[in-house]
Amino acid sequence: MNGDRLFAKLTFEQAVRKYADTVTGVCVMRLQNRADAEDCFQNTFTKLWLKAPDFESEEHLKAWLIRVAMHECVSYIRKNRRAAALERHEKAEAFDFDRSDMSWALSRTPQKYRDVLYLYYCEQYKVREIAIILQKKENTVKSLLKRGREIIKSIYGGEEK
Amino acid sequence: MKEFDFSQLQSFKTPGEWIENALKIPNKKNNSTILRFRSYLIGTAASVVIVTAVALTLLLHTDFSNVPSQPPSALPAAVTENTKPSGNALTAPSLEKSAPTVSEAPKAALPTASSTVAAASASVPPSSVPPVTAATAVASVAAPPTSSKPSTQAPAVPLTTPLTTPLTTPLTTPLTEGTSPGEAASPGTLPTQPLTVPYQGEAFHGKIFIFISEKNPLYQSQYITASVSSCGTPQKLKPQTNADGVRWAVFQPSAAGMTLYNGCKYKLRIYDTNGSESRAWFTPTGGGNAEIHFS
Repeated sequence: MNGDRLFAKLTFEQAVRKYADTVTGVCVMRLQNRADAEDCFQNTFTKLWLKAPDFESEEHLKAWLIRVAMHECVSYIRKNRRAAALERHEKAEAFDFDRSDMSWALSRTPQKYRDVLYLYYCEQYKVREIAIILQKKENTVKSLLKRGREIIKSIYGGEEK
Repeated sequence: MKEFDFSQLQSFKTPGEWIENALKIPNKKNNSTILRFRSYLIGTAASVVIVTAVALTLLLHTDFSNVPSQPPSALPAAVTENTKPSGNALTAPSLEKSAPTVSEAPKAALPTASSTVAAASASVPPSSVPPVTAATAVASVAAPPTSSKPSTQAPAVPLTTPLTTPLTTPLTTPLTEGTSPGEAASPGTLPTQPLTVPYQGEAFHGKIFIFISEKNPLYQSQYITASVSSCGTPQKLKPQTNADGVRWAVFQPSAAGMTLYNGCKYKLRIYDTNGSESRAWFTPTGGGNAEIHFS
């Protein structure tokens, strides 16, 4: 049954295995909570299976997954605003970032910089592609990248190589 | 000094269980749509059932026998029940039942074709009235005054005894339109089913017998004036007193230039020169005479 549908010439399993890390990164960066991130991760791939859009290429599939994951996170936060507030008090299981890791510094940056930095450095997207995915102007993405780098520097400390 | 490189930023490693769970997605039954709409479906179905039940109940309980078949322009205003007297506190007879079930009727001394006698009319019987076909204005199935031919089975004797004795033999043949009540219905052939309104929509040519009880302030009046729903010319009547002490008078709307139609509701108003007044609603439904009691 899994092989019935193809997503940019990939079976569902192949698509999941190939882009799981990308979707996980988006969800973790946005939600910073393991359980919430897992929910959004599952929702994203559920949508992929149910909607089954006609993808032109794997890049198209990847961009679609990132966008859907971001929307899932936004709607998840909106739906669970009250529960999230309660969980914060209960110290829900946060995603364990190593303080020596750059990801920790990235997770401390404001949301609007985090998305751009994540896509640029982790997913190796170009500015133009980030602009398309986030539906922002290229110059906006550039300025966000610049400010984001400065914020990470201030958080992480030290000097860039 | 701590050094860092942005290339150290790496994608996150997805836990294996997340991937395993995600791979089970195709095997899950896609019932999200059904689940989403289930409450709406149940609510809609319940609403439809309730509305249908209410509509059916209303339809079953609505009496269409009083609906006039004549065009509204040709009919006097059919009004709803309102028996409230205007001046003195008077009660008017209840005349809203158009097709009463004949459960009681006189056994003896029935007048011409007065086979369907409502219980109300039997309760206040005249004792020395002229040939009254004992019927209310509503459920009168008596013979029209124009055809004074007596029934072959019923005696053509004026009604002189109170109509208190119930009929023992039920009617079996319901009246049909156009059939003379005297021929169709006789004391021996009373129908067991409620009678349908004969002569629906036809002109009412009968007389209205007005009975005034002692409690009514018009009881003392030598002359009363009767009018029907502000149509025609009011008719001046001289009530008489029978042996039971009930004052009665005969009012013929057709003689007063009024054309009443069977099946329509009319307001009969009687008053005297002293300002006393009584009103009652009635619905002529048969070809015979009508009887209205003012208590």
